[in-house]
Amino acid sequence: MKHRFASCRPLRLLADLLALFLAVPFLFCLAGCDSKQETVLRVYNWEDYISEPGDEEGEDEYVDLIAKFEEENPGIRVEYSTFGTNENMYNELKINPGGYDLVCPSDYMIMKMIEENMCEPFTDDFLQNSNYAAYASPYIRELFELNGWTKYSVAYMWGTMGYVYNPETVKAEDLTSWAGIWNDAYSGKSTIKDSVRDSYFLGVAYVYRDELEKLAEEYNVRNLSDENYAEYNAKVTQIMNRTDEETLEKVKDSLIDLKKYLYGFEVDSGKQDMVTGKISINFAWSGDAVYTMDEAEPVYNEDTGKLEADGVYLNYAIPEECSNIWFDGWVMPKGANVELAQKFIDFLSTPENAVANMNYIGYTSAIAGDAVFEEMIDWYDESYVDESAGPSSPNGGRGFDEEGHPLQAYDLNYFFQGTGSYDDYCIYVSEESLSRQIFAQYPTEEVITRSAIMQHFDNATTTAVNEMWEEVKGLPIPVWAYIVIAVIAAICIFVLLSFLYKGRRKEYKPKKGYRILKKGF
Amino acid sequence: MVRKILSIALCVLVLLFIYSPILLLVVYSFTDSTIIGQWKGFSFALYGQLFRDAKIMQILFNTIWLALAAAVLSTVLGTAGAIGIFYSKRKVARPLQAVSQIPVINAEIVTAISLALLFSVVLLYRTYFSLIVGHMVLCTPFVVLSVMPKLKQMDPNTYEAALDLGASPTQALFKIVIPQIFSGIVSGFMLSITLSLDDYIITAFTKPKMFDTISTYVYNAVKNGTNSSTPALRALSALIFVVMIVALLIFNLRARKPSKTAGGNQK
Amino acid sequence: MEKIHFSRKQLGIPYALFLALFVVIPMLLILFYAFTATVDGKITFSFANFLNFFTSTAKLSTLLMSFTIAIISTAICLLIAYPIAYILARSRLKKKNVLLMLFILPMWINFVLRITALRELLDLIGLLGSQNYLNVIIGMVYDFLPFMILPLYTTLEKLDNSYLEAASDLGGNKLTVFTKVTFPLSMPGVVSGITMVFMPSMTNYVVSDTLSNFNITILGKLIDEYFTTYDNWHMGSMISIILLFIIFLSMLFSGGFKENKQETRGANLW
Repeated sequence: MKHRFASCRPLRLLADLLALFLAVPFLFCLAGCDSKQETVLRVYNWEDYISEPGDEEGEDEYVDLIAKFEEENPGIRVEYSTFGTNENMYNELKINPGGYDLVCPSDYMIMKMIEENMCEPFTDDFLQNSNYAAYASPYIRELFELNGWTKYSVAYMWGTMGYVYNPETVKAEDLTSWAGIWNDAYSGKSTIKDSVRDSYFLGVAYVYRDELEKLAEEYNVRNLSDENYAEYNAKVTQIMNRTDEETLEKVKDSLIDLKKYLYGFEVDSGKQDMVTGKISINFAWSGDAVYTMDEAEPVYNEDTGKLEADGVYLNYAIPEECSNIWFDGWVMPKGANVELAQKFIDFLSTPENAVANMNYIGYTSAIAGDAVFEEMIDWYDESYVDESAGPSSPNGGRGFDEEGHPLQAYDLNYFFQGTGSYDDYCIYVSEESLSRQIFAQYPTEEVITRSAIMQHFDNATTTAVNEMWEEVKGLPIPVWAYIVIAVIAAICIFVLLSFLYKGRRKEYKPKKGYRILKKGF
Repeated sequence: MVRKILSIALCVLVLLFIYSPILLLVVYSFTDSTIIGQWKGFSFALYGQLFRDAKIMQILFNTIWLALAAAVLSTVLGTAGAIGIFYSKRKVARPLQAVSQIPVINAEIVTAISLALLFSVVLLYRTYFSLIVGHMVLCTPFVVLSVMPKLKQMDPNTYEAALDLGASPTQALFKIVIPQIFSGIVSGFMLSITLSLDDYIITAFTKPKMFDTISTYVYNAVKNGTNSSTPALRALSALIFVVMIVALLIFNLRARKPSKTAGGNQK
Repeated sequence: MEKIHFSRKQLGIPYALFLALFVVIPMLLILFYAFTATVDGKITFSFANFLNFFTSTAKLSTLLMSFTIAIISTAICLLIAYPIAYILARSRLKKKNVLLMLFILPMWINFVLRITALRELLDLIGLLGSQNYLNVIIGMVYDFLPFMILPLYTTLEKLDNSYLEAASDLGGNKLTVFTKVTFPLSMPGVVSGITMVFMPSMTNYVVSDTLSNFNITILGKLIDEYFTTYDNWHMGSMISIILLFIIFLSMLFSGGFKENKQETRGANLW
C-alpha cells in the first residue's frame, strides 16, 4: 500500500500542475470580470461607432467620448465592447443575459427586441427632460412615436441607402433606378452588401420598380407636410416589406441574375474599393457613402490651394423609386442599470458630443441643435462670407459664392427646426455638390417621403428570407461544374464496373514472391 | 538531358507560384503607397508605422502569448497522455487513441462549433479559457502523435533496469523515459506552436470579443476593406515571412545532420 | 511490476478527461443540436433539419460545389506535387533536403497572411472579382500544395531502388515500371496527401471568402453562416454532422484512420 501511494505522488503533482495550468487563464478572466468599487456601465456597440482618440499620429484629434464621460461622472467606469452584426449582438444577449446596460442595435432588431420583451423602458423623466428630448430632431422623434418605439429606444445614428458611384465612369441617369446595376456596362464594377436584409431590400426595389414609379407619379408627394404623405409612404412601406412567396421567388431570381454583373459581395470593403477605383458603383449606407466620398476627394493644401493628393469626386444617388430609412438606436436590455444607461445617452445627446461623434464616425447623428448645424455649415456651406462686412442678410451673409452668383439652398428645416435658434436651416451649396456628401449626410425631404423602414421579419419569414439568400449565394452552379461532376461519376462507375468484371474473372495469380515483397514494404 | 531541363523548369515554375505572392508583399512593403501596384519610391515608412501602431503590436503579442501558452499546456498534457496511453491495456488505449484522432481528422470548423456549443452551454463562451482550450484541442493530439513513435522505439528494459537499480518511478520517468522521447516532445511542441499560430477558425469561434490574433485581425481587415488602408500590415506580413523563412532554414541546415542519424528513421 | 505500470498508466488520466470533456461531449452536443429544434424557446426533438438539408436547393448545390472545388483542387495538387516529389526524391543532389524545405516552407507561415498576399497578386493581374471559381481553386492549391508534396516525398524517398531495377531488368519499359511499380508503391503517400488536401478544400472558407469576394459559399462557410448570421445552431450542427459523415466515408475509403498526420504536417522536420 505504501508503495502505491509513493508511486502516485508524481502523478498528483502533475495533475495539480495541470489543473493549475488550466485554471490560470480562467482566473485571469475572473479577475478581468471582477468589478472594483466603482459602478460599471456596460456598453455594447457597433465597431468604430463612437468617437475615440485616433491611433495614428498626425490624424485630427478626436474627442475620447468615453473618457470624457468618465471624467464628468466620477465613480462610473464604462466597460465598452463591440459587435459586428445585429445577430451577433442578439446572440450575445441571449447567451449572457443581464450582461449589458446599453446596446445599440438597428431598427429591425430593436423591433424584435421590443416584441420579445427584452428591453427596459426609459423613465418618463428622461423622455421629457433629457438632452435627447431637447435636441433630437423632431422628425426622428415623430418617426419613433409613430412606430411606437419611443418608450424603449432612442435613436443614435440614421440614414438612407443608395449608390455611391464615380461620375467619370458611370452615367448619372443610369442610377435614377435601382435597376441601374443590372447592366452589362458596369459588369464587374459594382458591389452590394453581403447581408441578407440590405440585399433583400435592393431586390424588392428592383422587382417592384414599375409599381413604385407609378405610385410616385400618382401621388406626386414632394414634402413631409403634403397631405398625402402618410398615405403614400405607407403604401411604399407596404411594398418594400413584402415577403410573400412570389416576391421571394422574384427577388431570388433577380439577385442571382445580378451576381453576374457584380465584382462581389462586400461586408465593409466597398468603401476602400471605391476609393482605390477597383469598383465604380457601391450599394451603400449613407454614412459609409459620406466616408467614401471624403476619402476619394482630391486633397488641397488649405493655405496654398495646391493639390496635395490626387482624387476623384464621387457622387451619391438615391434612385427615384424609393429608399430605405434605417436607424441604429440605444436600448437597455432587461436587467440594465437604467439610471446609468440614461445618463450615458443624455451625455451623448448634447449637440457638442453629437458633433464629436459625427466627426469621427462620419454617420449622421439623430441629434440636431445649433452646434450640429454650425458644424454642417463648416463642412458643406460654400458661401463666400466677407468677415469684415458682418452679417448683412437674414442667413448671415451666406448664399452667394465668391463671384456673387447665388448658390443652391439645401433645406434642412425638416430636421433642425425647433432644436435651436436659427430661423432658417439651409445650407448653401453649388450645383454639383447637391449629389455629394450633403445629400448622403441628410437626405432631402423629397427622398424621405418615399423612404420606407424595413420591418422586422417574424421567425418563419426570417427563415424563408435566409433560405432565399442562401440560394442567391450558392447558385447558379456553373456548367463546367456539372461536367466535372459527370466526369467523376463516369470514372467512378467505370472503376466499379471493372472491379465487378474482374471479380467474375479467375483471380489473377501473382508471380511467386510478389506478395512477400509487398508485405515487406 | 531534356528530362533534366524539364524537371528544373517544373521546379522553378512551382517555386515561382509559391513565392511570388510573398515576394510581391515583401517588395511593396518598402514603399509608402496605400495600394499594391503603385510604387512611390523606396522607403521604410511602413515599418515605422508598424512599430508605432500600438494595436498591431498588441495583436502580435497576443498571438505569440497564445501560441506559447497553448503549446506548453498541450505538450505537457499530450506527453503525459501519450505515456499513459502507451502503458495502458489495449482495451483502454485503443478507444483513447481513436478519440484522440478525432480533432486531427475532423474539419476545423466542426471542432470549432462543437467547442462553441459546449462553452455556450456552460457559459464560458468567449473567454480566455475557451480560447486556450480550443487551441489545446487543436494541438494536443498532434503532440501525442509525435511522442507515440518515440515511445515505441524506446527500449522497454531501461525503465525496469532503472527501477531495479533503486530509482523511484518519478526519477525513472524523468531520467530515463523523458530523455528518450525528448525529440518527440520537442517536435510536438514546435508543431503545436505552428498550429496555433496558423489557426483562424477555432480562434474565431472561441476568442473573447475584444481579443484578436494576427489571423483574425487580418481576415477581418480583408472583410472590412481596411487591408489596403492599413498598409502597415504589409510590413508585418513581410517581416513574418522573412523571419519564418530564415529561422526555418537555419534550424534545418544546422540540425538536419545529427537528427538524420539519431532520429531520422522513425519507424 | 503491477504497481509501476499502474503509475504510468495514470499519467493518461488528465488527457482522457480532457478528451472526454472537450472532444467527446462537444461532438455529442453537435449530434444533439442537429436533431433538435428550438420552438418558442423550448428544445424539441426534430428531423426537420435533416429533411431540410436534402430538400434545399441551396444547401445541396453548396455541397455539390464544395465537392467539385475540392476534387479539382486535390487533383491539381496531386498533378503538381507528384512530379515535384518524384524529382526531389529521385534526385542525387546532396542538398535535396534544403530543396524540399523550399517547397514546404509556406506551411509554417500563417495561412491568412499567405492568402491575403495571393489576393493582392490576383488583384494585380486582374483575376480578382472576375474569375471567382478559378481564384478559389488557385487559392486552395496554393494553400495546400505543401501538404501534398510532403507525404508523397516521404513515401517516394523510402522507395527501394531495387524494385525499380528489378522491374526494368525483367523487361518493363519506363512507363510500365512507373505504372506497375512506382505508382502503386507510392499509394500510401497519395492517399495521405489526398486526405490532407480534400477535406480542408471543402471547408476552409477563409480562402474562398478572401479570393472570391464572398461570392462563393462552400460547406464550411455555410456552417459558419448558420452560427454567426442566420443564428440557427441546429441547422449548423446538422450540416456539421453531414460533413462528419463525408469525412468518415472518405476515411473508410482511403483507410486513413491509421495515417501519421504529424508526419504530413511536417513535424519530423523540426
